[in-house]
Amino acid sequence: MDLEVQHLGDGIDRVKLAGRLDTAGVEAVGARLSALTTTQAARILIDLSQVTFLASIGIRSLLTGARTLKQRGGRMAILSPQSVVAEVLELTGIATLIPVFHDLEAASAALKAPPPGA
Amino acid sequence: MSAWVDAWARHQGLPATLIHHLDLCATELVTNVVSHAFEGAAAHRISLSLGMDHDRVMLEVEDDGKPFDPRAIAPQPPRIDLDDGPPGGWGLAIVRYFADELRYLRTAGRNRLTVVLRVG
Repeated sequence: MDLEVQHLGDGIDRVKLAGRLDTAGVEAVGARLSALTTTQAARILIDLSQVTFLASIGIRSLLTGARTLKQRGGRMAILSPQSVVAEVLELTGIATLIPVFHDLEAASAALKAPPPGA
Repeated sequence: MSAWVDAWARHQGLPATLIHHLDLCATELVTNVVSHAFEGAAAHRISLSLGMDHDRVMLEVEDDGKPFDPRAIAPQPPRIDLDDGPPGGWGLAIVRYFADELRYLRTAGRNRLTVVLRVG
């Protein structure tokens, strides 16, 4: 599992993951992902376009990150999951908790917008 | 383990989507056993077997951990807010979603869980 961070401007970081987000995958990138989400008010776009497998441990890692970000005034969104990964995000209901986008512009716009209720 | 599941399933000529679902079920069940079934540092054994029965794939996971019937675990209520509930616990939801049938047997001090996935 690989992790690459790209600064998109406007305080948004695109975190591109590649490989299988299973136990070994979370062991490989979990600490870096956790460090990124504990940054004050970060806006993180998790790019799943190169992720071929999402297991429950990966979901837990994403959800924990999204919660930490929210507590610090930041936000998380997911970009371009492959169909098999999107299916898991849908069936677990994660797609309703962390917004999923298939378009970079739309995802960036959503992350830039003020949080609901702000 | 995933490589073994993949190789077997490809040899059977199963469709890619079903292979993915099978891999997910195997991954989640083994993770579940490792996380919950064993206490202490003693060595344990988990056995997996795969088989075809007409149009059905049978994945059997057997372990010598404490008795655990996943069918008895109530499904998690849907989450409405990001802060609802614990961050984990999705493994059984994934297995339940993809399995057409779940069978459980406690026999000779072992848990035997069989997941049935229908082809097509």
